[in-house]
Amino acid sequence: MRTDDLIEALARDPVPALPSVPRLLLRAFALGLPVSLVLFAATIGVRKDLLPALAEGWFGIKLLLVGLIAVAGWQLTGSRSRPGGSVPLTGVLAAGLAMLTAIALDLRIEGVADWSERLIGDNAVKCMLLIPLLSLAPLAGLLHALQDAAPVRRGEAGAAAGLLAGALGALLYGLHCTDDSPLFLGVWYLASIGLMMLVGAFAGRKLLRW
Amino acid sequence: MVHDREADWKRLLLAARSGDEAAYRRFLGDVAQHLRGWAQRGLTRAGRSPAEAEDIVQETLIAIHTKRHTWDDGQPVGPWLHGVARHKLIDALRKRTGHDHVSVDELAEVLPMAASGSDLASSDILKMVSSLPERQASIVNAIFVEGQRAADVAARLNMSEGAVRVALHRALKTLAATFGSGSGTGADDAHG
Repeated sequence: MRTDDLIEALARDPVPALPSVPRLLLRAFALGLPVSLVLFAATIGVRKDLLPALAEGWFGIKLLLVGLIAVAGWQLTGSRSRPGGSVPLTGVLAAGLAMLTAIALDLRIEGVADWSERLIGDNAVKCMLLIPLLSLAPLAGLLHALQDAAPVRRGEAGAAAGLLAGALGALLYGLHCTDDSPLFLGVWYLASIGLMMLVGAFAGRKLLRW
Repeated sequence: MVHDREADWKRLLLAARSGDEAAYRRFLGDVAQHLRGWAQRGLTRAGRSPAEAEDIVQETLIAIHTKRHTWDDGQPVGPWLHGVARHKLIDALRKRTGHDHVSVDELAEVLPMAASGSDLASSDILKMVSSLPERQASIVNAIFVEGQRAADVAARLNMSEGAVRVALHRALKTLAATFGSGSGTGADDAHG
């Protein structure tokens, strides 16, 4: 085929272009999040002391911190889903700074005497199991969306999707979990999200060819 | 000049997005020209015949077309376009060499010959290939001269595809060393 003929054919292609990358990612949420929500509601559900916990402070800070991680994940997934542009690190830096500040506040307000108790908490194993479980459907949705995008570094794109999906899973699980200390968050939540990044990187390398 | 091209491409691609077929045709034509030189250089560096460039240009144009929605109109067109093109160029070279895991740079390292753009299957090279151990020579012939796929060669020689790739890799290293030493023989690295 002559290249000019190909160009003519492409210019006349009646199939419209796919939606923009942010739209593709939002569509992935629409597919993946409901599955996790149903799973969440049907199994563990929201903690019983939701309102008093919100008034107490640390619970709200926990949700805010996980929300910041989700924002960083969104930024990175968007940027890694196509070539060009630099890696946006503002979200990661903001989340990291906020996390360190919260840990310092925790140690100052709650005292350093029993820091290890707060770090180990009551639900470490449950947390490490349920966050990944609640993240799986969003991760599948995001990887599906990334197949329609143009990731050139498959592993990085998959890891970014894992970060975003892991943060979403952690946000849901955080509504149930009664361990609110930033120390607990900094270890178990982050480890669970890190696990999802590994899963995402591995799956991305396998699945994101184009 | 680079700035002008960027501005042109951005204007054309934005117009194409809003349905301007003529603008899109111009954009693709302009990009094709740009890609052609790029593919030819990439092929030459990888020791492949630049005559294959047109195939790669077409493959890349198709990729640019199917991925056109991933350009963020707040970003410059150039880096995005080069990213897509580079991705497809590497892909196309891998497909043609039967390697699964090499980068363009590695290819250039393994195959420093044909830097002038001469055809791989020229008689000098064929002579050197025939100095390789028999199995390696037949693999190199099948893949580079006859253009067969690694999987097909593996099936015919009753080897695993991985073993074919390893043998090919060794053969290429031997050939590269032979070229480097400037002698026509010397397949010392011939284990396999």
